[in-house]
Amino acid sequence: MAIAKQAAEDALNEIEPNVQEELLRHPGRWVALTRSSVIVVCDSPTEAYDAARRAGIEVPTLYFVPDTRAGYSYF
Amino acid sequence: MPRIAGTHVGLDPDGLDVFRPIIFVEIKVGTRSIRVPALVDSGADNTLVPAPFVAPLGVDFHRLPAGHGGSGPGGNLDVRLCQGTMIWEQGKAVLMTQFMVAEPGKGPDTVLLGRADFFKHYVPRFSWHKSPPSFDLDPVPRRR
Repeated sequence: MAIAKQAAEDALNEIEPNVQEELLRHPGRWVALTRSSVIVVCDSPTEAYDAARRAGIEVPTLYFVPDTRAGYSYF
Repeated sequence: MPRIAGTHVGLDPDGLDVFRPIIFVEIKVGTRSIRVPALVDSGADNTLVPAPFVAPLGVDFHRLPAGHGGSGPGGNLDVRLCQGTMIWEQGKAVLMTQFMVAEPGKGPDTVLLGRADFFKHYVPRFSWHKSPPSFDLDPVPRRR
């Protein structure tokens, strides 16, 4: 039971911590990624989408890395 | 729904860690789909998608039907209705079949999940007093 619960929690973490840390090195840029790796870092989402599709990913996961150093966000 | 870890998105201007309550959603327009992060935002009236997020799906903001406009902390912005499906895979839920798109160059830097749609499916509970922060999304009970 404990293992099943852990697996459910892991599934919801979405991006592995080492990938989250890798993303932080690219503020203001677009990234195509999988849960466990960064595929490409680009300047536009369309570029990232196309690169992921070329890598054989049918539904690419795209992430815009916020530049949190630039100031606070008030959505 | 099990607890979801806050996503570490960077450091603030004072060098402190910034965590956001993010889930990944799938947006489908026509035959194309992407998965993108979406912020659970109790301050947003409606779900709002920045134009660059749907550009790879072939959505040209300027070709969407003109809307009533909107406003945010940065001032007024043009928002337009887009027909498309937003799905949260983890919750096995179709969240909406249309959403508002914010004009290019304005608005947030990620998808915002707002009260008028997302919050009618899920009840969020934020635990930002914990380290690291986390949150829960409990499905709204269905009436019999």
